[in-house]
Amino acid sequence: MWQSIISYIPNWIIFTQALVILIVPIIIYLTSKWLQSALGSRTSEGTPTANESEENIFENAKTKAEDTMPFTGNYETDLASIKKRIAKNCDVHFREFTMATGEMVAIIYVEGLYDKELIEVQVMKSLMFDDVEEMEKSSKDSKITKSYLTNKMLPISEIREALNLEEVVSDILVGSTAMLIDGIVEVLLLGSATGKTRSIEEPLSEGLLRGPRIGFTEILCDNTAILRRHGKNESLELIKFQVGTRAKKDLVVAYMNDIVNSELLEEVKRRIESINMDYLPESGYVEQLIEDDSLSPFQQAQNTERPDRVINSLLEGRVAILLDGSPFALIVPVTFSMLLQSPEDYYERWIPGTLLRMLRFLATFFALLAPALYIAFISYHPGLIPTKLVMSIIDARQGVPFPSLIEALIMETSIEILREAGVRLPKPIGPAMGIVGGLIIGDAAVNAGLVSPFLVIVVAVTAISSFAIPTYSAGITLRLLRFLAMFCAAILGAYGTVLFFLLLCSHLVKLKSFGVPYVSPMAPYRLDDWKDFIFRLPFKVMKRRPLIMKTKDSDRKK
Amino acid sequence: MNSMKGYFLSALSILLLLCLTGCWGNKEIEDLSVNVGLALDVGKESELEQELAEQGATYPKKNIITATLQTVPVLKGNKEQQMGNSKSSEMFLNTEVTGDSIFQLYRQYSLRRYRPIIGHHLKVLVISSELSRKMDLDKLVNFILRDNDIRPSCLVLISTGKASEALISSQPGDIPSFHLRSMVENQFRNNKILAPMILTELDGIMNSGSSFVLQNLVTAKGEVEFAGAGVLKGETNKWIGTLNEHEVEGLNWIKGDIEGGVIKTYDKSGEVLAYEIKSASTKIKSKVNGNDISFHVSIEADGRLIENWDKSQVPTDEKFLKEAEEYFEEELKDMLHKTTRKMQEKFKVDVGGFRNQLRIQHPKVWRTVKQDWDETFSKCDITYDVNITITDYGSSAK
Repeated sequence: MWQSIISYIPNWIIFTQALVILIVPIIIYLTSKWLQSALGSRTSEGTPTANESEENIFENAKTKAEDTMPFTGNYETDLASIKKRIAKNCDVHFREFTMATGEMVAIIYVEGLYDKELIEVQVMKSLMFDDVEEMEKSSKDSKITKSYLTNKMLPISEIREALNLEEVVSDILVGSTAMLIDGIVEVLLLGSATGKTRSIEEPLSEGLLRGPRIGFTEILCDNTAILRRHGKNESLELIKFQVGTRAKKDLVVAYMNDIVNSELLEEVKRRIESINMDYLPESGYVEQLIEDDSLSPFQQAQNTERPDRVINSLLEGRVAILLDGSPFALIVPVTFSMLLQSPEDYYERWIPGTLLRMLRFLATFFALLAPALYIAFISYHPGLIPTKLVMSIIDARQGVPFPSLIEALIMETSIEILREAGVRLPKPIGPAMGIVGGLIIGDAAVNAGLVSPFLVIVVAVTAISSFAIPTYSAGITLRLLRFLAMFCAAILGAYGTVLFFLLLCSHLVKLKSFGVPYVSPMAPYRLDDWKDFIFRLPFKVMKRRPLIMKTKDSDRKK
Repeated sequence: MNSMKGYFLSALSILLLLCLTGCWGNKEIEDLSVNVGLALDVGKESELEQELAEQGATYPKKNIITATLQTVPVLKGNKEQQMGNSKSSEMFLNTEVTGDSIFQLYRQYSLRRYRPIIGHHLKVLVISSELSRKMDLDKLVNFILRDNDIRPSCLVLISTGKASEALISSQPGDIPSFHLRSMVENQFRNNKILAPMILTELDGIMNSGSSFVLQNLVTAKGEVEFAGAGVLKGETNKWIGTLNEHEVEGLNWIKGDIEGGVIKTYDKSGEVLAYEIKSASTKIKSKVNGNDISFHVSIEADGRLIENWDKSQVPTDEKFLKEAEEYFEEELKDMLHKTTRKMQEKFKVDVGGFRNQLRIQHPKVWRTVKQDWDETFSKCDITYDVNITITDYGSSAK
């Protein structure tokens, strides 16, 4: 009996394998935990901790006290204190003149940002020449007052008052014109920045055949105005935040107040408030600072230049984030299917829309797995290729000196380099380089026996497929993952490719964007949301907003 | 805590998945030779093999089987050479090896050619009738059926002459294995071709113990023609004879495998009459009367009168069409009787699928006669009822 039990005990190889299976996951877990703590989880932390040294605090306190001290109303001292703060800058100008009534006035502005027309015609002219008689009359009574100025003398809509140095200085530097008048305690801030801006153009990265040609620009107020203009809608709310610890920038969170889930909104606000960065030049910074998982290759916020896309998302219950100085708005939360959808799907009729969507899913599959499958078939599974194709592939690969992985890597890398170069190249040269690179190098590589013609087809299909994905950054993700897939295929063949795909799926299923599962209509499975997933059903069927967004108002029709 | 568990589980699943066995054999496709055809002949060493054996290339074996392995593609030299004699260069490579175990013969191949052989694309297996007469077919295809790489869709054929000759082609650029594989698909044009017998079907039939027919082929001067069928007896799985083309046609009618083709006959003045089959159906009814088992085969066919050498007859004439139908029916009946006679009297085997009909229609009776069915069948009474309809007479009224 003992003998029969012993015969069932496996030998030491099995035990070693079991040990490896036990230890390696622990190692992987520890590494990923270490990576997480090193990189990610910024968003899950609370408010940022201050890290100023004690000396700095003392210095800061001193200047702070000066900054918050109110103006005295004495022209000379106030002007001197302002000059002390900002006169070093070459672009800050002080223009002093005497008003018709005799008071000294100083106009302080930043060259290139101030509204020249407004200041010269509406302010200086009216103060220096106009209504001299009336002015004289009033001057007899008393000194000129602030309310008199604003009511009678300055025909300008945008006038603000500032009481201390800090307010004045920060506003002057972003483009307002400050007016300091002898005898008045408040400094008046006139107008706002008008610097040179770009006109509204068609979005470059998301061209459409059918649909509005309007795109966001770098000016935040223009962008919010574009959003406002989508229609008469009281529920669109835009709240302003200031981000950046050193250079402050405006950031607007847009949402529909009677649609958006309030928890989601709070979460977005919380994450934006916890941004701790000295300067945010582009919304890409915001995206990376508020995302859930920094280790994931997938983006967790959608960037778009298209206002129509933003509005559509807001109506689905999502939240948009617009940063001043960036033409890219962010939409959160994002799901994987959104990255493969184009607004055109909705503008065209539902049948072509559905077809195009399916094509894009297919293109995604190719962009991700075509070279991997090529390697798997060529190196591992000759039996899965049709016989006649096997013969022609063998013929074509006869002179190729490399295994299929190296061959595919050569071609894929050169295509990626070519694409990267194409972005940098000046516009007139770009297409020419594309042709030289794509056609001539490809053809020469085949003739030189470096790669097989069959691979050139695979690589070309892959490259074109990755461009069929409407979101550029999603395309980059797939390009990156494609190389991983190729290595998996080279190690384990089609089995490796399947493993890779499973791993990718398990990652995607776990990934969340602002609490919303990344592959949401698929997992968790919600049949109702499938109406707008791979298919785009007619509008008559799509009566409800996505269930996954848990909106306050789920009905699209009233 | 929860996330730790999650990480641990996912890492564990990755490892477990990696431990599953996959296809680990990495071999670039251009380093392989693709086996597309296999011919089995009675063992006789070729001159080359004899010379090699004299030099010492030998191992303990009985020369029972000579296998001809057809592999593609043939390595070409550089481009100029290819341009120069592309016409005369052959697209395939036949390697003859003699011995007993077919698996060993396959492995012997690696001693002669540097590119290892893969079996995924094996298209045809041709067995010479002489070998099949001597040896149980089950033994011959044993390895082929067991092998994991070789597809069950491989076609099995019988050759009257040397099987290896079927794998030779006189046409440049032609690969005989593909040629044979595709020719079977011509059933819709010619009813002298049997429905393709592939490995899985063969496996089933051999296990059921019933007799069966395999498409026969003949060769001459590098040309191959499908001609008749080899009959194999179920108990022994050995070749017992050949049905000629005419009988194969009849057999196809009985089995209901007609997809198209022709019935040709002569009218009373000896002129040719031809009928193009558009659709046909066969019903076999088995009748059991005490110990007597009989079958009634009713055949219906639709088609058109396609050729008529008798100029005096007008095809629009109803009477003439009726008459023509009768000629065709007569011809078909004659064909069927000849086939039945051959099956029942000469070979004493049932290859027409009657056993299956009896099994379905009279399962109880079948159980009693199952053991000795071929013998029982040869005494059964088979009657025929043929109904041929001429639906039209083509584009010409005259």
